[in-house]
Formats: sequence, C-alpha cells, structure tokens
Amino acid sequence: MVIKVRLFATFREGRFKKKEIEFSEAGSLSGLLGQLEIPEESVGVLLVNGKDAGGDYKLAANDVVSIFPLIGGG
Amino acid sequence: MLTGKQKAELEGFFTGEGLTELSIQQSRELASQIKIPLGAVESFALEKGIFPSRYERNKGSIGIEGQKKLLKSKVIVVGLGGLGGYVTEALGRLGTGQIVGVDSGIFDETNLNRQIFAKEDNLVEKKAEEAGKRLEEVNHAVVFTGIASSFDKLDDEIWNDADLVFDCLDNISDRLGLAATCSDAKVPLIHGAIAGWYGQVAVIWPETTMLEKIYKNQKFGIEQNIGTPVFTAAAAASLMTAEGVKILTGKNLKREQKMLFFDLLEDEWQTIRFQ
Repeated sequence: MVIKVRLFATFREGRFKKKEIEFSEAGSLSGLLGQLEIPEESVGVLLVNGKDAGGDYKLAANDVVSIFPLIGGG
Repeated sequence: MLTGKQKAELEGFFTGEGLTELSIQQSRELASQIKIPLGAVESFALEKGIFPSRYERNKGSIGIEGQKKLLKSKVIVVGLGGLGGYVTEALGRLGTGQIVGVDSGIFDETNLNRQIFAKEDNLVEKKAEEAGKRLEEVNHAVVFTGIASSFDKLDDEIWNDADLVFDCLDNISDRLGLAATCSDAKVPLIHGAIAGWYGQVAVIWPETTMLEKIYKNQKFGIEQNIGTPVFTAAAAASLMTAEGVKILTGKNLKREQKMLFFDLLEDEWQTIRFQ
C-alpha cells in the first residue's frame, strides 16, 4: 500500500522532504521507521494524518505520516 | 502592599505635580522619598493611566491593562542559558514584576555563541548571579531572584505562587520532571527546545501530556550532535516570551494543545495540534 511520508529538519538529509512510499499491508509505524532507516529513539513528534501516534500504530493506505527529529536543547 | 499613608503621598505627588508621564528619574525619587519599591511607583502610575516612559513602547501592543498585569506577575524561568537568557532579558524589559531565574550552572566558552548573559569576562561565574546583574542594569523595577541550584530543590510554595513557568532546560529528563511539577502546581508551562536551525515552542497546560508524547526515555536530541546558533535560541525565546505575555495579560484564553515547529533553514513553520 502507499503511505505518504513527510520528513522534517535533519531527517531530510540523505532522504527526501515528501514521498509516497510503498509499504506492506497492515504494517506498523515502527516498521516504517525501520524501512526509512530512522532510529525510533531519534524521533520526536510523530503524526499520522495530523494526529500524534505511537510506534505500534497500524498504518492504512494513503495515511500521511509526518516525522520530526527529537529536539531538546536550550 | 502600600500603606494608606504611602498611597496618599503618591496621590499627592501625581495630582499636585500634574504628572502625565513618569521618567525613571522621577520614579527613583518617589521611591526613595516614600520608601517603597520602584515597581510600586510604576504600578501606581499605571493605575492613574500614566505609562512609565520605560514601558511607553509597549503601549500599542500590550496596552495599559496588560502592563498592569505584567507588573503584578510572578514567573519562573528554569534554565538561564540559550533560551533562558533571552527569555529573562525580554521579561525584564517588558516589566514582568517578579522573575525567579533557576540555573545551577556556570558559564563556559562554548556558551558565548548564543547565551546572552555569557561574556568573555564572566566565564566560570554562576548563570543565576550574572542574570541578576544584567537585569539590575536593564530594569531595576523588576524583582529578579536568581537561584543557583537545580529546579527540583525549590519549595512547593514557589511553584504554587507562580503565574507561569518557562521551560528553558537543555535535557529531556529534566523537562519531563519540570512538566510534572508544573502540572501538580496547576501552573501553565511555556515549553521551548532548540537544535541547529530548528526549534519548537508550545504552551503546556496543567494536566495535559504533550511532552510525554514526544519525549520518552531519551536524554538528548539532535542538539547533542549539531549544537545551536544564536538566532535559533533568540527566535524560540521570543516566541516563548510572546506566548507567556499573552497568558499573563489574559490575551490567550483558548487552552489549545498545539506546538509551533520552525525550520529557519527552509523558512518553514508548522503548527502541530495534539489531541
């Protein structure tokens, strides 16, 4: 199934800003992060269709996933 | 709190002299004469519809009612580095009546690129003390209390008394601890975090869990690898201050759960809404 992925900030480096990704049916967000080679612990805000979601979220076709890196500096 | 006699003296002065504005010099003379704090003189002037000159340029945005509220506000700034430095400087210039600044650290060379209170000749000095010195120069009417310890050592009373807290910390586990403290004390928390060209700012209302959703058991984010330049710190701190002022002056009553994420490299600003 097709998943629309939007990457932000440093996650774009060596990857992309916006892309439609082919992803296995009933795959999880964790699985998608693995496919994109984004370590889960480096993720901050993680949204599916504009709502915050966890790694175990089961993706559906045409879901829009937004992935922001973890930012904690002051 | 002013005594009846002190109020009468102030009243006499303002009416008798027909004052329509108030300079710092006049404020100081009155404060010294009547033996009251400088801030009390300025608050009194505002009650009479007079903008102290030092706040004159706040008039068109914050307004007289807003300025009165700011002068009566008590805020805590946790962290006095990149974010906290700019936030404290801004709150001081705006006329935020009481500011408690908390930071157990001292300055070092690597702070010079972005921390407004860091100077070449105050490295190894305590951030909490240097912040106090700076605010004395900038706005003597604001009461700044510098606490050179970690925020978890503060009495409950300080949190319960505060109108607003600013999260200017530099690590994730402390941020979660601060969020829990503020939620318990039912005080709103202005969250800000920065790294490289990127930053995020959000209002964390009591008993909400936005930070727990994005921060788990990590200690640091990408800032550990890439650091932060001054413009990111100043941008985030300014956004945080504006959000804080809106809450303190009653201009933000919505209680929305949203975060602004900005990318200065690509000129992108995202509003992220949380459930």
